[in-house]
Amino acid sequence: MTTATSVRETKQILLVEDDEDSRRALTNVLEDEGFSVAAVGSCEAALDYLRESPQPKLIVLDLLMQGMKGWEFRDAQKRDPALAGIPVVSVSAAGKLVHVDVALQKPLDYDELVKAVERYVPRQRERGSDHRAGDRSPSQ
Amino acid sequence: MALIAADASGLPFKALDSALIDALPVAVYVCDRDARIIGFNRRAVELWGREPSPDERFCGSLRMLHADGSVLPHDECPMADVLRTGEAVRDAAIIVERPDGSRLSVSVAIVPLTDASGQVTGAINTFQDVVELARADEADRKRADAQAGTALRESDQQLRRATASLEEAVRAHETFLSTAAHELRNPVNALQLQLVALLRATQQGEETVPREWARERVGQAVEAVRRLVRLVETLLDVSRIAAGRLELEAEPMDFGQAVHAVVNRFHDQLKEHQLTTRVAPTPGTWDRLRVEQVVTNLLSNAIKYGEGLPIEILLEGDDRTVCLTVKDHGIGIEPAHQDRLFERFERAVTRPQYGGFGLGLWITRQIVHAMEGHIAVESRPGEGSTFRVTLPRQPIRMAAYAKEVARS
Repeated sequence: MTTATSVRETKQILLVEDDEDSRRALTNVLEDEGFSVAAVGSCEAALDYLRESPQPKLIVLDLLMQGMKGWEFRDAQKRDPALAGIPVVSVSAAGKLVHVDVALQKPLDYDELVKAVERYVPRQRERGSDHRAGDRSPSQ
Repeated sequence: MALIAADASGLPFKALDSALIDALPVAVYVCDRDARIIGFNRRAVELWGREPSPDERFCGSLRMLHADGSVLPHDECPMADVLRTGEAVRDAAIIVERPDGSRLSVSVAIVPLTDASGQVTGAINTFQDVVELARADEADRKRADAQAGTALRESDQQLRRATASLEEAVRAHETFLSTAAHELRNPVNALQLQLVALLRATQQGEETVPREWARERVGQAVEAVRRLVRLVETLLDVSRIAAGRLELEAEPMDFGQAVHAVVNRFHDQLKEHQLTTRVAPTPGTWDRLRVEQVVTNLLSNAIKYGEGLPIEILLEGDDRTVCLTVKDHGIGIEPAHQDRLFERFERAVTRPQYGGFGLGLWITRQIVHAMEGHIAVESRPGEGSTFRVTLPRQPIRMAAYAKEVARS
């Protein structure tokens, strides 16, 4: 997981998700699809990240988390003029209750997720190309 | 009226006419100051579905349950309260289970007996099953209507109380269902995304799927499935407990071996902790799987909240009891949270990494109670927690229950 303190390079997507399994799966999928991702485990960490790091093009946000909830994060984000313009895709059953740009529900549909992200973020790489190749072991 | 050892009790009760007591339409029994059942009438035997043996204490039913279906240990029942406090109890609502598995909701009233100096020498318990209570109320009401309507008001209150407790139970179930759905959704979400990613990769025919890439995704999918299995097991336990069907299979076993088996299973997670075990061979009669479950729950909590610091497991015992101690030096528990720790859905801390239903300690306590034991916690915030489970080596009711179930 990329933490707020260690990241200074520009990531396209900030993923805010407290569940470790979901966070890893979402990070994998988004990176496979050619996007760069910074992942944090709470809304508090997300706000820290946004204040300290280059702005992402999109925030992918779980709403039902321990501690600060996604909708409280959304309020804080909208009150901060520097952050208010960043679009948000929510990934939670409660998405319809909060004003976000796209509301998706868990379990997420792979294509719906990618389609929603594509609306706001251009791919850095060809879909799946050099990322998977980069994982290739030397013997192959 | 069956009188057991009434002469030794010194209670005024023996003076009562036993034929009259037997003729009463309510169940009556008497305990001495040590909670031994020294007398009971015919109606009590009908409601218990059995006759208690001379050594039995607190209540003659095989099992008692709270109104929510969770096990009520005999030594925590209203009779135990009255003997301890010397204060009478009225309208206590509990469930008694008969050997044939049938259950009755009963309303209990208990009066303490005291000697000239005010010392509690025993207590008289009268109880009725609530179906019969309702019937009696109907007859009462006709009389009461003509008189003051007291019975009507009382039964009204009973109904309102019953409704309130039902509503509370329904709310608890709704909360539980939505918690469960939320908890299940995350591993399902991870599993689905990882599997679809793998499927997509194999469908892009022109390239081979890199081994490391695939291994990571399969590994994470397997992890998600394991988590789903654990959550489903927990759900099943909750429904078994709520239905009073936490079945125990008693067998001769070594508690020490069970502790070692669980510790071995946690080998990987314990790498970063320094684990000290002082575990002596401790033979007894318990349900092996449930004993392992208790150890698993306590050890996984110690790992979860132990902040990577040393963990100690101690198993000691005498001829009658065994005591398991699991101690960590982690975040500890605020005093205000310690009492509620064993309740349903209680988790003293809410941190994202501490996933689950928050039911582990509740289930643990239910299992420990079913095995006639106790669980307690000592903790200081920032210094860690010590959980201590004490179990009888040969739980009497567990063996008796198994026997009676086999007979029926």
